[in-house]
Amino acid sequence: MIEAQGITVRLGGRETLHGIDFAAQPGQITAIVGPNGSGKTTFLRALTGELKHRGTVWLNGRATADIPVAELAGLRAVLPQSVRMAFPFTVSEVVRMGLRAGLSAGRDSLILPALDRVGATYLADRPYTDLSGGEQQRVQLARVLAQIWEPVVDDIPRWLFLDEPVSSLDPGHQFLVIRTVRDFAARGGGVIAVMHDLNLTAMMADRITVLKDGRVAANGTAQEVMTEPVLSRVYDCPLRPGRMPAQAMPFLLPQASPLEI
Amino acid sequence: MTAVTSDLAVPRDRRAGAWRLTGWLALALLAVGLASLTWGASDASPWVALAKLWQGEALTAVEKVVLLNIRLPRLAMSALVGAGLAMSGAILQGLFRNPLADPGIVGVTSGGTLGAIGAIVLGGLLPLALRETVGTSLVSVAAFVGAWFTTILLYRVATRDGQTSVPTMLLAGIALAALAMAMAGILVYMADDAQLRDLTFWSMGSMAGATWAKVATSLPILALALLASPLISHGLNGIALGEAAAMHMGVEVQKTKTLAVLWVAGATGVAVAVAGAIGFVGIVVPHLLRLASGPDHTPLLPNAALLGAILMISADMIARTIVAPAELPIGIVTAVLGAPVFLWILLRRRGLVGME
Ligand SMILES: Nc1ncnc2c1ncn2[C@@H]1O[C@H](COP(=O)(O)OP(=O)(O)O)[C@@H](O)[C@H]1O
Ligand SMILES: [Mg+2]
Repeated sequence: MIEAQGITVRLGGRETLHGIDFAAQPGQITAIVGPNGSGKTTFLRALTGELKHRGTVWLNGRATADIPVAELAGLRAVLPQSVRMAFPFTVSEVVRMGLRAGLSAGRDSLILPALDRVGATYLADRPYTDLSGGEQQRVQLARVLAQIWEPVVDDIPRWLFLDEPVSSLDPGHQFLVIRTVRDFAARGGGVIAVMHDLNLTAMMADRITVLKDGRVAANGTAQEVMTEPVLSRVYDCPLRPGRMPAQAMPFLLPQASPLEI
Repeated sequence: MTAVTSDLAVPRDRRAGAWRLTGWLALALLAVGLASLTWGASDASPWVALAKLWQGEALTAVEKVVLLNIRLPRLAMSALVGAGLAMSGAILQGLFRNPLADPGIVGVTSGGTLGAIGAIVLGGLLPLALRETVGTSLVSVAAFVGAWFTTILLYRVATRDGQTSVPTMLLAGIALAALAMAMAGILVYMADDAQLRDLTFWSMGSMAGATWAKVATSLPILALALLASPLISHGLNGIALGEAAAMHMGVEVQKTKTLAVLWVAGATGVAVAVAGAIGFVGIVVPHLLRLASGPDHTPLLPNAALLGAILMISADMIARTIVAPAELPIGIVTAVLGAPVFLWILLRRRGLVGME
């Protein structure tokens, strides 16, 4: 389980996050959504220990600040919003970089299965620097999956932190990646994902935390959070969720007529 | 899960090829080393000398002086300086995540030069006895401090949140180099040591002053650095994905960065102290090696040491024979070979300096 209490971050001389409390359970996908600049990326970076912050984060009951980096790398993996590289490493070399810590260390046999999970085995020998944004994002996800390949080790869940894992993907790969991530959670791992698209979020997430202006604006299941009052207030525009009849899953269509826009 | 859909049985692995290259480079280094012992103004030949030694004959005085006191220390110093500069380039590029970061271009060498000149000028104020004991090592230490200070300053200016701004890095490098060389110029002007007034040495380098004493000061530092390189290469591979991503993969980022900066300062500082400022080796060598066998730092660093040594020994052979009996500053030779490569990198990869 991941717990965070009173996460406050200052960036560039002003407070970006104002005391966020948060919790996520293993076996579930917890999504973080919110408007641009609401602090999603900042919050994820604070959760993973990348940013200096006030407040405490506990990972499986231990304060993350007290866990050595090498050990932490065996407990959780982090997908940044985008990764640019200056040197022409091949795709399989990039994935191999994830195979350094914990149980995955040195297991080159994981490279192709990890690439397969994101539909990228055909890229294995290509230079990473030549790939499109969506291809790069999938390769990085493969690296992150390889790093903590088994979702649970010795009854201890491992965690994926993903910053917009599907934003630059086409629909086919969005579904593939969501299925891969769901599978990781279904087998007992924990997933915390910053998401952009609300429909995909509704489809994928067990719990949703909504951020606005560096504060938690709402928190709950898709049914609880994706309601007209919450979304319209958070996004400052009329958003009226519909329901797919079979699963009662909320979905959203742009509501304004072309004339209003 | 879908089955493996590609017919790729195993992804291409460039590591074996890179280590094979290490073997070839070692052979080439041996060949170039022998050539450099053979080739020179005097017709003393290492082969004749070896044959004599084999048959238990004594060497002539000329053979002893030319081979043992001139060519051999010169060969050793060229190899050490070349290896140090090429590895410094590779490490600096890994640290800044950019193939244009060369100790000469970003001002680290100039910082080292200022340190060395400062030590010589101010060292002249020391009592004579002390001066003789600390002599060369004081110059080396000061060059190291100068290079180290410049690297740290450059990193502070050009890097925010683990991301290096390449234009800032290059421009700050120009400013730092100009400032360091101006201060060095003032010191040189004030000093009346004829040898020190030789600014060409400091700006373009030379192996002509090679002595066993200089080899002895640079060897331990460069050997230590060479042995320490596996400690950094792992971390530099992680940093290629960004400092945050490296940390998430278990790399001790701060430790790697500190080691890398000390390494670059040590190797560049020593190189400057014994041979002056020699440019472009640090950029050409790693670039060629990345083209040949990929950017993985684990084989890249030792391979850079070997190719750097080969290149520097060859450049020195050219420098001392092409206008014989005079000598070209070796930096002219490396610049003629290296500057076009630098331009070529810029042409091919404009994105590196934000032009795409
Ligand atoms: N390095 C930084 N320095 C100053 N301000 C920053 C920095 N990074 C992000 N911010 C600001 O913090 C706020 C939250 O950013 P971010 O977490 O990236 O938003 P998002 O929810 O879109 O991921 C934004 O207003 C952004 O401008
Ligand atoms: Mg973001």
